[in-house]
Amino acid sequence: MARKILLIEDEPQLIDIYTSVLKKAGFSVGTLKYGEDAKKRLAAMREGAAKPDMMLIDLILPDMNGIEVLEEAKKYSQTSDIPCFISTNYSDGNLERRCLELKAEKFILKTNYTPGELAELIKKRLDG
Amino acid sequence: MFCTDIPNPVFFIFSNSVPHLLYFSHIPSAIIALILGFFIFNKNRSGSRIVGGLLLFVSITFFVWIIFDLILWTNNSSNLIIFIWSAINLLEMFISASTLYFSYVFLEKRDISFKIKLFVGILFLIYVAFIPTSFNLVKFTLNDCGVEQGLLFYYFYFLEILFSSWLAIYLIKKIITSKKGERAMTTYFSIGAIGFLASFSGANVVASITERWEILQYGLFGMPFFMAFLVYLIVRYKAFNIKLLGAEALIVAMIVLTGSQFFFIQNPTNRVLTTITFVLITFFGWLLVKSVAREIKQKEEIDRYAEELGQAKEKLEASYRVEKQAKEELERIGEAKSQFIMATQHHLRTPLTALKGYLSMAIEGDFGRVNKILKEKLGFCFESTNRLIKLVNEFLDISKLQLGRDILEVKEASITEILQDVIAEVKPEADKKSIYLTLGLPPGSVAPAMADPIKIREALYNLIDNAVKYTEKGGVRVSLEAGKGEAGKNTLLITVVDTGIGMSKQEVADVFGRQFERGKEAKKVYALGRGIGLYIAASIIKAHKGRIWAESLGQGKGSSFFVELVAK
Repeated sequence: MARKILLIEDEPQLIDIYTSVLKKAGFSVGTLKYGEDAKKRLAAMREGAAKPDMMLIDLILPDMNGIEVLEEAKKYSQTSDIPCFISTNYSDGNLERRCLELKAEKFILKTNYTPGELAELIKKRLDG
Repeated sequence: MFCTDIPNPVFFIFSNSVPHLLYFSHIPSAIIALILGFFIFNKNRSGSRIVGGLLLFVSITFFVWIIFDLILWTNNSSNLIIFIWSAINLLEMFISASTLYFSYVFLEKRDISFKIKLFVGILFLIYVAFIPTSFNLVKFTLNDCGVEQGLLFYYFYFLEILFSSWLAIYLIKKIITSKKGERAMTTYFSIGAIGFLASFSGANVVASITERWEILQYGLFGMPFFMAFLVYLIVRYKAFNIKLLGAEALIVAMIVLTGSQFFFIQNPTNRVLTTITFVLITFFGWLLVKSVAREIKQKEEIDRYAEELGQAKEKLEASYRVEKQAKEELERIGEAKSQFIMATQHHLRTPLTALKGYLSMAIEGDFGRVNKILKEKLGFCFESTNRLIKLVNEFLDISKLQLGRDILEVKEASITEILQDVIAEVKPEADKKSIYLTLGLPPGSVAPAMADPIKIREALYNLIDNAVKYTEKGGVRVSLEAGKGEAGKNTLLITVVDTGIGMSKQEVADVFGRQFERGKEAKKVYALGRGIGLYIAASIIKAHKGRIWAESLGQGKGSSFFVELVAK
C-alpha cells in the first residue's frame, strides 16, 4: 500500500505541483487547505482515524500559522510520532528554531528545492 | 451702718472688706480672656480678621466689665457708683451681643446681614436713649452702696435673655444641620459659648433681681470655661488657623491657675509654697513645651519628607508609564515590521516556487516528452528562476537585517559541526569546478561558541560559498583554531583561505560593505554575484560581537577571510 503524505498547503498551484510529484514518487497524497481542518483531522486521528506517514505543513495558512498545527500534532501522544516537515516560503530564524524545538524534522524553504528534490527528501526520510 | 463707712479701696478695686473669692473669680477670668483675645487676634492673620476682632472686642469689654464690677464692689462714692452702674449694664449687653455676633461669624465664616445689625442697633439705641432718664436708676441706696433700679432694667433683662436664647437656638440648630466632619467642633464651640453667656448673663439677671450680688461672681467662671473650649478647638482643629500645641495650652493654663491662687492666699507659708510651685511649673513647663515642639517639628519634617517621597514616587510612576507606552509602541512597530517581512517573503517567493516547480517538472518530462531544444530553453528558464530566487533571498535577508527583525538566540553552538555541515553543502559546487575544499580541525574537542547556530551557519556558508565561487584553480582551505582574544577571553578563529582571484587593497577594505563594487576579475569569474553575501556575513558576525576581516596579497594572489568568535 502506498505511503500516505498529508499536505497542508493553501496555494492551488503548489498543491498541484506537490500532489503530482509526490504521486509520481509513489505516495498517496491528501490535502488540507485550512489550519482548522488540519486540527480537526488530527482530532479524528486521536479517535482512531488512519494516520498519514508524514505531514508536510506550510506555515502561512489562510486561517492560522501552520505552527499551531504542528503544536497540535505534537501535543498528543497519538499523533506526536507522525514525522513533520515544515515547508514554507517564510524563513525566519526564530520561527525555524521554534519549529525545530517542536520536533519538526526539517524546515524547508520551498523556493530552494525543486519538487523532485523535496520528494527525494521525503523518500529518504521514510525509507531511512 | 452705712456703706460709706467702709474705707476706700487701694487702686480703686483692692479692699479687705469684700469676699476673697471675688478677686479669684474676677481677675484671672479677665486676664485669661484678655490674653487669649490678643493671642488669637494676633495669630489669626491668615483667616478672617473680623473673627479675631470680635473675640478681642468681647474679651476687652469683658475685662472692662470686670474692673467696673470690682469698682462697684469696693467703692462707696455715690457719683462713681451711679456712673459705673449705668455703664456696666451697657457693657454687659455689648458682651452678650458681640458673643452672639462672634459665634455666628466664626461658624458661618461670613458677616452677619445688615438687617440684623440694624435690628440689634435699634434695640441698643432704645436702651441708650433711656439711660439718662429716671427709668434707669431710681436712687442710690446707702445701706449697701447700691442703686435702686428702674423700669429700664426689665428691658435690659429682656435683651440679655434675648441674646442668650438667640445664641442658644442658633447654635443648637447649627449643630443639628452641620456636616458630619464639622459637628464635633460645632458642638464643642456651642457648649463653651452657651455655657459662658448662660452663666454670665444668667447670674447677672438672677443676682440683680434677687439683689444677692454674690451669685454674680460664680457666673464669671463661664469665661475661662469658654476660653478653655476655644483653646481646645485651636489645639484639636486648628481653629482660627492657629497652630498651638496641646502641651503649650496645658502649661499656660496651669501657670494661670497656679498664678490665680495668689489672689486669695492669706497665709505667708502658702504664698511661699505657691510661689515655688509657680516657678517650677513655669520652668519645667517651658522645658516640656520646648521638647514637645521639637518632637512635633521632627514629625512634621518626616511627614514632609514622606510627602515628597510620595510625589517622587508618583513622578517615577508617571515616567515609567511613559516608558511603557513607548515600549508598547516599539513592540507594535516591531510587530508591524515582522508582518511586513512575512508578507513580503510569502508573496515574493510563492510565485517563484510555482514557476520553479512547473519548470522542473516540465524538464523532467512530467507533462509529456520534451524535445531537446525546448528542454534546453526550459533549462535556461529554470536557471534564471533560480537566480531570481537567490536574488530575492538576499534582498529579503538584507531587509531583515535592516529592519532588525531577527533576534539572535545565543546558545552553545558547535562550530565544528556547523563547518562540517556547510562544507558538505558547498562541496558539490567545488567538485564541479575541480577545486579542493578542505576542512582543518584542531586535534581533540573544540569548545563551542556562544552563538546563534542558524545565523552563524548562514554567515559561514556565505564566506565559504563566496570563496569557492571566486576560485577557479587550486581550492579553498577552511580551518578552525582555538585561541585567546582581548582580555584573555577564549576565542575561536575560523580561517577561509582560497587561491582565487584575490583583491586590491581598496577591495579588502570595502569587501564587507553593502555598496561593494566588485572588481572586473570578479565579474568575469562570477557574473551574477553582487557581493551581498559578505555584507550579510559581516552583519551577523558583528551582531555576535565577533570580528571579521579579510586579507589578500593582491589581485590574482588569493584571499583569506577570518572570523573570530567568543568561545564558551
